Amino acid sequence: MEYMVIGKSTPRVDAIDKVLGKTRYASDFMTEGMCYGKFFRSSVPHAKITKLDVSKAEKLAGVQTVVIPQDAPPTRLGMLIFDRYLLPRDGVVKYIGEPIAAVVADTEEIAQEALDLIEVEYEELPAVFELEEAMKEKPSNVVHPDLQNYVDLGVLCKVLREPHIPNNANHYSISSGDLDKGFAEADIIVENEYSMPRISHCHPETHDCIAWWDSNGDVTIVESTQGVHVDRILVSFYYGLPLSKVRVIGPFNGSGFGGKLMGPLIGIVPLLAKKAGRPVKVAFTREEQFAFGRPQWINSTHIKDGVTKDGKIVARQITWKQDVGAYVQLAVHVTQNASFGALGLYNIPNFQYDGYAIYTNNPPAGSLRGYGTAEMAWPIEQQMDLIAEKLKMDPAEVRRRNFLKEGDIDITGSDVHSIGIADALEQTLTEIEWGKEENGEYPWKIGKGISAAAKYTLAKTRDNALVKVKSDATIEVYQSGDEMGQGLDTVLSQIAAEEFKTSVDKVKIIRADTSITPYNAGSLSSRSTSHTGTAVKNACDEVKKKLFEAAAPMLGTTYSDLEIKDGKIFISRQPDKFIQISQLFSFDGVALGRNAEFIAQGTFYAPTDRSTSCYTYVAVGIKVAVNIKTGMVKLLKLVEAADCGRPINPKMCEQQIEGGLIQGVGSALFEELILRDGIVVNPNYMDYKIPLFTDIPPVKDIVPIIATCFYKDGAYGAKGIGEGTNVAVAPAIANAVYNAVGIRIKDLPISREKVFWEIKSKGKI
Amino acid sequence: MQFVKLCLTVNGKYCETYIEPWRTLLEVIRGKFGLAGTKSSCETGHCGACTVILDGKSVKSCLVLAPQANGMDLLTIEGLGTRENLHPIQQAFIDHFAMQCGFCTPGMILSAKALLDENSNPTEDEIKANMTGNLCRCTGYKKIVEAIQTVAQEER
Repeated sequence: MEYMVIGKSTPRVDAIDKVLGKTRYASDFMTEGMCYGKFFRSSVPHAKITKLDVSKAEKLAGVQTVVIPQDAPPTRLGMLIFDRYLLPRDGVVKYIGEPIAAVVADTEEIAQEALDLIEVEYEELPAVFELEEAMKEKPSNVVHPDLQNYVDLGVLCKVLREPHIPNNANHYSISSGDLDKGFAEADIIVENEYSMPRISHCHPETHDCIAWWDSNGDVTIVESTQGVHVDRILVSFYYGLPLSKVRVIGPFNGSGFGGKLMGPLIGIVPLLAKKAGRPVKVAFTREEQFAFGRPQWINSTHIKDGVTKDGKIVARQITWKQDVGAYVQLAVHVTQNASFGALGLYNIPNFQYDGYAIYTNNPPAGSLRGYGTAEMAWPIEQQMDLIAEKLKMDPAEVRRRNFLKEGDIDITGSDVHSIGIADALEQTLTEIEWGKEENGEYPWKIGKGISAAAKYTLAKTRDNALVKVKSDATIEVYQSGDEMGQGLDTVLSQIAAEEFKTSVDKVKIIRADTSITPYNAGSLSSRSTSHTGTAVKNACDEVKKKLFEAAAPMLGTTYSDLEIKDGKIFISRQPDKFIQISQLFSFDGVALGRNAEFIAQGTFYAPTDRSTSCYTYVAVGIKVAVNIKTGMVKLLKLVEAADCGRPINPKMCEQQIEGGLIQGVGSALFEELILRDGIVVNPNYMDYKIPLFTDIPPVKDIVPIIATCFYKDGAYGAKGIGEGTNVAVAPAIANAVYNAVGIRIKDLPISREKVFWEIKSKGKI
Repeated sequence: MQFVKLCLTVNGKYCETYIEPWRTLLEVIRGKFGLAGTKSSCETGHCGACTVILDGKSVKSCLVLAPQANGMDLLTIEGLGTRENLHPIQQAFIDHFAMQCGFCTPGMILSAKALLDENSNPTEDEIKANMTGNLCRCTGYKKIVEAIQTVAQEER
């Protein structure tokens, strides 16, 4: 079917303002009387606070107030597990950097100066930083001694704490078949341990939040966030307010990458504003962002595969451990959701996954683009290559023989559908010239590696949208999704434009504001195109009915005979009989007939009987050159095919593939937040390297491919793409490095140092 | 507290103001002149989101003490083009989908302008080397390079 705008690369609707520098983010927000908040943070990882004296800070000219633990709500709060006080009411800090107090002052400089006037003394207590130590039955420190009595909110997932592992925040388990039987049937066993360090989102716009209360006791928050409604729920809960008294506004977002959901500021900044009696803005410095912006957790995976001699995986056992830091937020949800990546791609009859979220005295960690999927792809996609090597098979063939197929039932009991991985893989193999070996010029050795992954989109969620048609035929779309660069505004504009057969510039997106735009579960889980998009499409359908009902008598027909295009409503079989939309309104913009407005709601309910709505499937092919004298890994070619269902805007899908590839390169080769005794020692761009212009291959050798496999439940058959493009890059690079020099790095990053020392220890290559 | 006088041309307009001498140019651009297009992202001179053009040269405004700009000619993103009359680089960024979240975009565009003003026919490697002071987390850089290449080609 040919569409007017769907499937076309119409220019991004936010592009003009972005190139003019006119786009306004939360970091640009100002309001009358606004002052600035800064946190006084613990300098020790675990301690009783024996003295806290803020009197000198309070007296500094320009300081409005100092917020202390006694000002915070007296009960433990949180999301999923109620494990934290907003400020330490019990007088105990559990990580270096934990906010103990907060200064609110007229300027940031005064607030900073006031922090130095706060006096604190600690009685230090033992702390635990290493994952293996923290997981013991008798660890060096139990981070939450009262953990078994904490309340948990089992809305997103059940939380199961193993009492014999005192630091276990959650243990999620899923299995199928009979593991022992499976391993007994296997001809070979491949068993290994893999690990990943902490990595930072490196959002260009750091976390920021502005809050103020009015005299009614209503609070308004402007925030860089991926989900205004879910944040609103958190605030209403934390402050004991009905939802109607909380308003959260989400301007354009200077990128999210999964880190700006119920973020580190949304709970606490309203407290500062309440005590100050004025609007308060808090923005993380880059240093705070690295250290306290909930970077992705240190994690390790033990994986054991049993495989038959014809390459069929008959048993797979995965044990996954996350260091979630001192407090969890959504971490325990990821303990469950990581399993979707582990079971979403391959058909494995005997399977066991155990995920453990483990508390330590490190700063809290959080999810990053993939929500557990990258953490599963890293071990699994190297295992696939190791299996291939052991069986002397082509790594691509091993994958083909194990891919799930349309109609299979996955381990969660959901039917597999819209699975385009086979085609994605074939296109990638062709583009990377798989099978064609290339020799490098000394001291460079060339290698190629592939990988595949399945990134799920959540089920059990709902989005609403409102669409209003104005007298000048403008279409206003009210929805609460977040434009963080992924192009949601453009996708929704294209959908509305298609529904009304008009141009994209007739569509106006109304920004997320919980007082104005309806409920949305958040721009996360790569769900917005299909879920918010379908809600918008449904709303358009309803509004068109109302327009046609009003137009029908004017055209002397019934509403089912009518169509709409370019602002005109016409009779299908007699297109020269039409009216302009403006004719349905009186001169002052009021709609004629029984509706004062032409407005309607649309809803998308993701299925509740499934764990996942759908998956983005990706295949990555990477060619590298490894310098055997220095260990440097140079990228020669990057290919990624992504099955995102129907691409609503192909160029924007390319944007996601290219961006995901390079962000993946960063985690593969460079990125590592180094923790020493609970403190991040490289919280800056000098010592934490992200990819630069000079790190990418020639642009002609970065090849994004869109592999389409229509999703039956999503508007126009579209799925998501935002996260999947990032998750499988690192294992493809690891496989390529192995192909080049016979070195397999199982602990990210594949740094030059590691490669150098491995090559040296192997002797001459 | 001693304030100092700062006189400079901002986007073609002569401006005079008084500032604390320790203010960075970035703080003055955003705080005093109310030009929010120049972004603060790392404040340590690594990411380039604060890039502006000072007397024809691209600088990281978070590393320039505002008094250093006295008597100079400052160009921020607001001075480059308008909706009705976009600069060719701005148009190329739109056409090539060279931005996503847009936070790094003003700095990117100004760095690109400074590059093309000095070298109107850069190779791909020259573009990358000159732009390497601007970080982008969203795009992966490819479409930014292509946008700059297009402008260079059109100027030829």
